Amino acid sequence: MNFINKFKTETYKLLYILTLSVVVFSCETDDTQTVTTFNKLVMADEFDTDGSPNSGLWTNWIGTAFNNELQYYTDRPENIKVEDGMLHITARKENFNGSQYTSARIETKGLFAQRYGRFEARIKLPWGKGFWPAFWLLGNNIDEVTWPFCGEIDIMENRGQEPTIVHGSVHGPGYSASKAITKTYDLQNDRLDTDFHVYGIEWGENYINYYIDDVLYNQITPDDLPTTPLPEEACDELTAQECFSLNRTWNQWVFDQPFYIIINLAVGGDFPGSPNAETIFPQTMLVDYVRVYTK
Amino acid sequence: MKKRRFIYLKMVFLLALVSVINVSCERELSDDVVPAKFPNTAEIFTDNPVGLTDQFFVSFDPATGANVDGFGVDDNVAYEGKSSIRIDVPSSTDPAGGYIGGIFRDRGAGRDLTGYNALTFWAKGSTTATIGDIGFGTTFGDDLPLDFLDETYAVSAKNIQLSTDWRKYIIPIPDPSRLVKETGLFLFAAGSDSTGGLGYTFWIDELKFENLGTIGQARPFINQGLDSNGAAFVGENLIVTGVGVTSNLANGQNISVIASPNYFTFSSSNPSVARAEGSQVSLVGEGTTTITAKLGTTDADGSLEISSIGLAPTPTLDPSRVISIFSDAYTNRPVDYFNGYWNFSTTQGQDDININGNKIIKYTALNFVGTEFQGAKTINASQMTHFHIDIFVENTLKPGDFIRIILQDLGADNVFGGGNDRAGSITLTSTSATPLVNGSWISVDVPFSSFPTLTTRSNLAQLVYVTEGTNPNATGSITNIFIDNIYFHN
Repeated sequence: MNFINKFKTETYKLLYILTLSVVVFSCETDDTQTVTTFNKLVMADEFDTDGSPNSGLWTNWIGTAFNNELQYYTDRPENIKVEDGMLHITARKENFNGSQYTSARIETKGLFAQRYGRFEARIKLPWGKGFWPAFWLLGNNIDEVTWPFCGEIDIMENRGQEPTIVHGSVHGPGYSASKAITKTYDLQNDRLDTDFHVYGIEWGENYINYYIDDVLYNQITPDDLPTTPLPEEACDELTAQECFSLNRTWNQWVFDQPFYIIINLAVGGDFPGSPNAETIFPQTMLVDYVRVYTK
Repeated sequence: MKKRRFIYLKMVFLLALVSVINVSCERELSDDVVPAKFPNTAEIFTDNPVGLTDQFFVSFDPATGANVDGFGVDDNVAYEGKSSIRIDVPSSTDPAGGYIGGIFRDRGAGRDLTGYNALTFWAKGSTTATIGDIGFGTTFGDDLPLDFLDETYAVSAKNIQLSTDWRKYIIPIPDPSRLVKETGLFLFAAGSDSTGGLGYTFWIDELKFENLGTIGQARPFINQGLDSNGAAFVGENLIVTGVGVTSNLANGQNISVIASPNYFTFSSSNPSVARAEGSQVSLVGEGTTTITAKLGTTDADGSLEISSIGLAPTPTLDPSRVISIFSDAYTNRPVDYFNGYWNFSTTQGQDDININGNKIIKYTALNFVGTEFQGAKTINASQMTHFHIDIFVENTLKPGDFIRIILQDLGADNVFGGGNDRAGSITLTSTSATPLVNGSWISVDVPFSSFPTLTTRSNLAQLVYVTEGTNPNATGSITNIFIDNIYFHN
């Protein structure tokens, strides 16, 4: 399984998105740009109660993960705690259950999921080669249909060695992992690790808008989906019935069902590469709040 | 100091005018209340020097090998606009000087750089050489006294790697709030170490100060970021070196600059042992203290733990009873050396510590080392009965550690060899009559009978110390000792 493995954007796609952005937002790039339109707050974790994250909302992922990442996720306070009004996810360099690093990942699977809306979090990122912080969503039907058929919306991903660049992506059948639909945004005269920034999406029928602070930088719609047909060998080990269903979902927009939230800090892996001698440990990703709105 | 002239009078005049207007505006607002502010012009050189007189470049002193011929403006090469600064680095054997370097100096009152956090420029080289030094904050000049050198807020980056294409270089300012009136706007020094002695050219363009939000994670350091410890004497003044800041740039790369200690606040954990005045540490009492520093409110990495030690006890014997080799209490007999750097000796140091007139021998990396007084004049100790030496061992003692002290006599012929040379030794250990200890002086005062094989002492010529401290194949790990008050007496 390969949950989040989405870094190379096909060039034509990127160009297309860029063009699209100009068309869609060219009249909105001045001060009157409307970034957010969903204003009815339906869920918020302000991380105001010290201790473990609210177990009524979050569960901890324990163990290793994917993408050749190097960390072992724990629920120990050394790796995750709420303190001073913030969620602290701390990556440490230590030998633990066969891994060289520890960190944490929490998710609202089974506790909170929503179709459409505004999902945002205010986060201060760690820095240095090999850190891979993320704030993202997975389709709530993942256990039935598996990834990438459930869909994945990456609201924020960052490589620690790129302290000014945020990535926003979607993954689905036919456009997952290295074929994900991604756009990056290079923060102007600012960094992601020296202060908090708001990372969010506004997601409705047939569109997902990505923003950081007050800058809308990406819109993904069904028009962005690829048209590359299902590779023939994909059906090699499938029944005719299964192949038919796979074909039906291939390159489809899978973002019309509830998604749940994940926040994690990975170390190493395919996306950022391994930490190097200059990477400083421990380091903490601070989350001030997570909020979800509807219309 | 030789200067190069640049004739951009119109440009300079215009800028001067603008500056005047700016200043006069601000004076209206700040009269009497706020100190006058200096111009905050960001640019140093774009297509022309900006806000500088035509004599903005001041070369390092040609007496130091600085070549004054290689500095100019190139109207055919530019990163932006129409011209750039061109620097022709001479070959190492150029008779006109083997390196090039100097400063760009504001000959006016100086600039207010408090609104910027970096010196930036674009540069490219004719080859991928490295520039030894690039920075700012240093001022000297031909109109200033010859020995005038203001490095109060000097900053420099070392070994800047050039590309043969234009690249942007960023040199962070450790604490811009200090730079209220800076006249040393730029500094470079370039030689041909990285090119095997061959000369090359590099160009600099768009040289200016900027306020970049993409510089972050500044980590100041002192003592190269290391936590080290050592011993020094009450009365000594030490300078904390290896001071700078490492910052992270937008491209994820770290850049380290060496900075003047004046950006930092130093402190001593035990002011009764040592006082820190700037980076100068004065040892005022015996004991242990740790020197640390802050840049603004950020703790610097690195520290210096100092064991401040007193001097060895001053000898009290009447000079008539003493033949002294090394003591400030007596007139010493001449010696050839305190360290002959003999073959296979790793030992460094000699009588190079001087605490307010009290000289002390310091040996480091000790395996063996000798003091010789044969050439000067051998010592006739036949009327003496005892040998005295004060020793301070810096190392923590381990089993098997020893110091062997050998006295060598040349015999009646007063030359090495001849069959009548005699030598004897004593070996000090942690269990000897005067035991070795770590961290304080011991006074060894022994009769010559302690050197049983030293059967003559009319022509003493050598004093040898053996510890095998750097010899991995021998027991013994003592490498650092101080020695004082070596004499014979009766």
